[in-house]
Amino acid sequence: MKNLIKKIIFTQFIAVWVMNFAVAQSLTGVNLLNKISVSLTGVMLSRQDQQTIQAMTSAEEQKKFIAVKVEQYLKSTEYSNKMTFRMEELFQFQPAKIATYDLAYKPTIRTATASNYLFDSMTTQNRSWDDLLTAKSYVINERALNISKEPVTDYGFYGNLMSLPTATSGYVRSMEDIPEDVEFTRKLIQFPADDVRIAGALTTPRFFARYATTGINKNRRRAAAIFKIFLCDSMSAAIPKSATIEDSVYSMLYPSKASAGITEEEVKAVLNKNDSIHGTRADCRSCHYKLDPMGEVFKFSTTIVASKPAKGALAYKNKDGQLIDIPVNGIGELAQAITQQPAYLDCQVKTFWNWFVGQDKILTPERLNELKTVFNQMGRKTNDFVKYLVLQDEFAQRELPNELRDLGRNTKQYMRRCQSCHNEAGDYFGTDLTVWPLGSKDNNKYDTNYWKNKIVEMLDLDHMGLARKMPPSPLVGGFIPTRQELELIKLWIEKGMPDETGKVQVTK
Amino acid sequence: MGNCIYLIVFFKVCFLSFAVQAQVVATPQWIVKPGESIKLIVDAEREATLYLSHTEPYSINYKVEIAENLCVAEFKIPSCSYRAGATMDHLAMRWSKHNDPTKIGQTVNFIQKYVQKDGTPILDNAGKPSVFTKLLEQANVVRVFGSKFIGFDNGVNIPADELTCDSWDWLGSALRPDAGILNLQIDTWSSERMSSNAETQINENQTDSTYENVTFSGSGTTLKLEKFDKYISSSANLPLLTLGPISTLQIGKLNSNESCQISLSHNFNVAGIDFQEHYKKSPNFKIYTNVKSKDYKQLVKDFSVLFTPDAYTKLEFE
Repeated sequence: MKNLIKKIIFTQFIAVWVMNFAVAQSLTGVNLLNKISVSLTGVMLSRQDQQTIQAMTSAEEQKKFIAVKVEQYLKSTEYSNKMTFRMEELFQFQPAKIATYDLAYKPTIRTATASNYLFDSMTTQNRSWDDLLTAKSYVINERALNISKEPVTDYGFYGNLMSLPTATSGYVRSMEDIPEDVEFTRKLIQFPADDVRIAGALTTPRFFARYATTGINKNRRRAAAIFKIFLCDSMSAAIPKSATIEDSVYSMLYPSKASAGITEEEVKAVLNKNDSIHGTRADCRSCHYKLDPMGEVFKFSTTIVASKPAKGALAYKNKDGQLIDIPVNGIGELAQAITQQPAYLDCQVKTFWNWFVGQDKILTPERLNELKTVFNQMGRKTNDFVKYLVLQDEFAQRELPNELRDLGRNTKQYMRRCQSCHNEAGDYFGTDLTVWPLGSKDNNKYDTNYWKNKIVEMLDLDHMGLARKMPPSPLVGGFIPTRQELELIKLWIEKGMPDETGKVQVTK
Repeated sequence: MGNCIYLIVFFKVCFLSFAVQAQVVATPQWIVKPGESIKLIVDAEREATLYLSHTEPYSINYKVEIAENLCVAEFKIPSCSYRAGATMDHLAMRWSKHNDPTKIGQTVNFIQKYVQKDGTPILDNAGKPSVFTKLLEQANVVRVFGSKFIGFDNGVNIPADELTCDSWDWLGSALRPDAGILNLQIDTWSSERMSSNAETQINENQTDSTYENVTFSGSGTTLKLEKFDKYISSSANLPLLTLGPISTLQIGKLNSNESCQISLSHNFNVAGIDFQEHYKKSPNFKIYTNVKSKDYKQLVKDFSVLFTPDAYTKLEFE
């Protein structure tokens, strides 16, 4: 009897131990294949495949079957569509498949454009991921009518650079030339490999339309999108010290912030008073030294790509703090220069990791380096790298819930949003909020406990944000934290500021 | 009344929602023959004829200010104005044959109803079939011609655009004198206005049209638009050099591959009122018989909004 009680207690102890310490389980067989199917094609495993793999008794047999199925998925239309959707999301284009109006046209129009043919070819032709930036050929299309709210036609966009039939928008050579029966004519166009005006998805009607420019914006918006997509450098409008008229100017530099309530006339009045506010403010300079030279390459290319290229530069600080400043002679050269950057490689591998393995899985610097090597060895081929990732152990790992770890990850995600403004801003003397333990990036000039108190104070967590100083108002480029977000940070601090592994940073 | 969705500069073409009794037609036929009137055969009992009215050329004048000058650091603030030549055409399809004799001579009312895939009408908030048609004032379509250089020649001699300033300091070395003539070569002249972003659907200021290699020349205080090489626009229906409230000029520097930027602002309010006055003038409609191939193309394009083959709408005439 004593032994039985001992056994029961021991078994319960083991169960509790497992519950507490098991953080992940590895998927195999049907579960793994189903995850791969959903990840690659967006649809669940077919009933037939489910039965087939379930009937297999050996792990080796299942592994071979999974490898065969992965090959099939990579050749499927569903996979190409799913990847195109991911690329549209990356570029922040309106997804073609979920257009909410004009249903008769929009899905067809949007999928049948130069950018989407390029996206599609990345997977159907297993192209190098660099082609997204450096491709010099396009499949173009003409749509039937110039429907309002549409970007310029492919024919009108590229007709400025080569001889193409006149389109209804874009470069309109002459109304006389507009064909009577406009048809959906697919056509492959090819620019010379050394054409410095052409740069993959950057020189497509949808990119130009999505990131439209103005005289005051000077293509900074396009530059900001390129930094974000290809170098994972998200920039926000500078955080001003006070909400004065001058501060509102910054939001005008980003047309999406035009709702801030200031008119262009007011902006001009301010600019006339002080010719170069941006040159005098450190928080502006921290982004504009990057945005302005890159924006220059689009100088003549406002509505469509101009006949003559414009000079500019790829300028930014690398992760070691060194200034990279590469002069370029056009958008094409800029794109080429970006693909040579270690920061680009880091960023693109992370993008794939986030898409397939998951943003919630930690990508250590060592693992990132391994993956970069593999990516390069594969010639940066899209499908090859996708295949590699979905067959890795990390992909098969399904993590079990862990309160402290999840709390740490959710908080890190929130801190990234904060850091997108604080990053390099000249008037910000704080530490990098995404490098934990907090303060470690500055050699612990101030320890984690100091930053904990600072966060509590700035967010006014004692009063759930009633008198918070951060984030600043949306009118000046900030945002309003929700109650749930404040509760998240408060709980994170109460639990000892756990990191993404669940390890607490502050014990007192 | 419905929402305005289609603008051609200052006049409106709107959706209307009201009950109409109309006859459904499968495929109307255009009849275009040299020397004859342009007709639209709606069905065996109904036929419409095209009437056209040219408005005499006129000018729109407005003040221009230097909003930003990255070419010249210090300059005397000038007093400038821009004069844009323009004209317009009114087009109307009028019933020339109809089973209801009272309709003869009246402008055709084009109606498009929203329908489901199976042809079932889509109902509006009031439970009636959801209908839109063009606002019928005096014409079905009004075309605006902004410059004789743009290629939309309607046969009317439009005066060339002019830029007048009491000082040219602000252009610095970009204004190049040659044998007593002042020449201004502009790499790109871009015009921006508030419009819906094609991807985000959010209204924002954006560059809407660009003219490449624009040449002005003249003497004294006035420069005339001589030519431009290329016209680039997201909508071919808006052929005005100074389309929106802001123009941005990229001007090449002398003996250099570089360029600098000057932004001009122009107040369209007065010009807009002026423009509308011209628009309101009663057109002098005549049957149009002088058929050229481009007329037909333009006609089809102008009316194409109504003839869009669409599984979600049904075309009717009244």
